[in-house]
Amino acid sequence: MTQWANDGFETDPRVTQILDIFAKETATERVLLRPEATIEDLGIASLDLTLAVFQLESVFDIEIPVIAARPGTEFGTVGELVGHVIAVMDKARALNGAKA
Amino acid sequence: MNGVRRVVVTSIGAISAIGHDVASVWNAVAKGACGIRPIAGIPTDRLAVTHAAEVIGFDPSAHFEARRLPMLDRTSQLALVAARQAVAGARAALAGLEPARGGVVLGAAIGQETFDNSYKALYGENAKRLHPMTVPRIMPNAPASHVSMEFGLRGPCFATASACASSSHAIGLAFQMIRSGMIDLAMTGGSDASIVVGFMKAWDALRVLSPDACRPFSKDRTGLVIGEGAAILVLEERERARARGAEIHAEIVGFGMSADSGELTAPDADGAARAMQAALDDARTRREEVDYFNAHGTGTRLNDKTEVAALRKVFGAHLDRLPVSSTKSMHGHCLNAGGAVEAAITCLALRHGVLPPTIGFREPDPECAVDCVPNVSRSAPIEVAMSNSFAFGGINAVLLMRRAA
Repeated sequence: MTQWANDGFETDPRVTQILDIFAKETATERVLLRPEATIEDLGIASLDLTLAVFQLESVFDIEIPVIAARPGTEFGTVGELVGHVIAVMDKARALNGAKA
Repeated sequence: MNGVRRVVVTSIGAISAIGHDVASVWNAVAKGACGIRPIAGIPTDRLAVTHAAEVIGFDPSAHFEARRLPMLDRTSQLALVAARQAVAGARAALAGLEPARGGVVLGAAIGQETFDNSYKALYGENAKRLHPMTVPRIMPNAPASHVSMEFGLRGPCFATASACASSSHAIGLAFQMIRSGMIDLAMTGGSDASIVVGFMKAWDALRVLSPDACRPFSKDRTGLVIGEGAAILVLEERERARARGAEIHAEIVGFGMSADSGELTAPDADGAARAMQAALDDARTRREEVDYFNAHGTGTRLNDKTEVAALRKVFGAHLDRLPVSSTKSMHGHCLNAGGAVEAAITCLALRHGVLPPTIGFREPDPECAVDCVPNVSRSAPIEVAMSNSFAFGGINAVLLMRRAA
């Protein structure tokens, strides 16, 4: 479970890493990446978002599926994006654990 | 001649997921048939999205001699099949034509099947050599060159490269070349056969593909669906066509182009609106005269709402009375051939007085408030129609057509 509230946002070190990558890839100021901040308000272009997701996939060696029900608006906020990535990582880890 | 040369469409050939010839394509459009299905032609185990609008049941050997097939990527095969239909339907349009007065302008389309297969062989299977026809099969002008060679057209022959606007640029340039007096006849349009593993995987990465259906303007739309096919139009100078008693499908009256000079992949309402206005200005046509609009309408969240915003800029209150449909819902996004397939359908809509539907429509979207002719085609006595094509790279091409007088 990832903690979002206030300064608890980054208790999971993976969240810090995701946000570092996301800030770099989208050229967004790191301090602005609060869970409630919307991608739209941050002025992140759709192409930059796609490239950032691709980079997250590369770094964590995961595949982040498109959420078909919410195309183009998959990640409304930073918190949603982080939550989705963490969920995918947890799922991948569980799968690998099951294989081992 | 009074100095103003007019340009008419005297024949059309087409092949796509909804029909192997132009009559079948039109019947499918009028019925609202869907060509989007699970992909059958390539392995899909490594793809996230496994639906497309493929040309099913196309047998190259039924159309081409065995010794010619090694020269032809599927992209050129589809172009030639559409071109043959167009020539057959044009009733001796080429008879008596000075070969240098006939041109071929098609949308640039690389031989994707050849590209994918040869690199798979080279890198994946350690092939020692590649087929000697690999380069001429892949080259983006190959479809145009094969059409020129098969029909003896010896005037300008080239391919226009503007991604998903390529074949609209091709038709627009062919129109201008005939109007200006450079040539008297052109075979123009485009073909595309990009449903190969490498390219579909690349589309997966863009995160814009719908998993199952293309629902332009619908609130629950989920993205675009890749299609393949070809459409070739025979354009002729109007007096020549009339002198030989040609059947006239429609007249091309205007062409507008613009660049957004903004984002690489995101659409721009201002850029799109400038191209539409340029087409109206080119034809000296008032916006109120346009009574059908064939939209780019990809079915992505961003394209459709941006396109409707652009339409509102250009047409103002007239948009409330203007039917705007996207036939990509049926034949998919045919990429380099998209503008040609849609221009062909727009000509036929004018000819038959039938508005093509937007199928798969389920729920109105306040951001796309247009009459998209939902799900079922409608009869309407239309006179003037416009067709949009937008491309990655911020490129817009718009054709304006009028019912044959």
